[in-house]
Amino acid sequence: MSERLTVADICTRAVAIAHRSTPVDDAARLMREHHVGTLVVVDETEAGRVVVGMLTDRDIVASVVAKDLDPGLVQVGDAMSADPVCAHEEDSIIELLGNMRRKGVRRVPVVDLKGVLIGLVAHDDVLEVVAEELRLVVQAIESGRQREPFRRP
Amino acid sequence: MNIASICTRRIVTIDSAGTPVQAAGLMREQHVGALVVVRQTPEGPQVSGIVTDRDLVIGALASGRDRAGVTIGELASDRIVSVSEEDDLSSAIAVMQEGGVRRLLVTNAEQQLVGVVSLDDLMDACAAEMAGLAKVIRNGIEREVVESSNLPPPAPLVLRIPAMGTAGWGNAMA
Repeated sequence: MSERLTVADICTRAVAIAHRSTPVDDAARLMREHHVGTLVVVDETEAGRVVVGMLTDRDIVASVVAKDLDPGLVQVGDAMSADPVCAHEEDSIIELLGNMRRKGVRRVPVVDLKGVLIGLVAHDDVLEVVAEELRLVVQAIESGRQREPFRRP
Repeated sequence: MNIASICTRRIVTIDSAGTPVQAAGLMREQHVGALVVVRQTPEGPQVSGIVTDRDLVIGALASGRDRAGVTIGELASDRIVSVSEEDDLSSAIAVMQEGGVRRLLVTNAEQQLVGVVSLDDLMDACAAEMAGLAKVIRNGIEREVVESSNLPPPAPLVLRIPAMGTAGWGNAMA
């Protein structure tokens, strides 16, 4: 990919977060308000917000709805997937894709060297970049085709 | 490539009178993120919508007593967006775009439900086509390498390239 794009270049910086102690019903409300299906779970530390887990709508369905528990009484820490796969901000897109494929995840938090949250990157973000590159390739082919009649009349 | 060749044929259904707990259990056991909601009519069972894990989360927000009475029919989206299994990739993408959805029901010529196709399925199919295209290019290069290796090596040539900014060959040869 041109000029070596990194994960930091394409990730979303505005990320909806929750804490381990957040009740699951509040987390669900956050998801609805922000129109997202994933919350990044963080611990507040001196260095910043350190990523400790991910909570998806699917996690809520499996650990709360399926068991008919009261979502107000379950904490995010008990429903989340702990120790999530993270991307480092300097990772290349190719490294990111390899990581996502190996671990079978579609959405990963982006962190710095201390594990502090920087953003979130989804396979949709990658697709957008790839689609843009493809569009440029098509444009190059097209303009070659248009110049041909002038160069060889 | 038509939709019939890329859609998922395994359809998991739930009755519209079912509960969120039943739906959540089905999603977990069957490893799916969406269920087809079916309503019983005098003419037999009929598709009435789709319910996703997201809909269940919204349903879980209802307060305790209300939650007990919520049915899947109330949580499901009743807008049915579908394509024919004979349709191709690009028309399915257009239907998704228009409908603002990430999943389509797939029907056969008799208007019967035969499968579901998701945005991920379409992305997989597009990626496979791109990979095929890349392979065509690579094979072409490989064939050219093999064919040209059968030719005798060209006689060595001494060629000079004029320095940038000079008038051309005359100067360079001098």
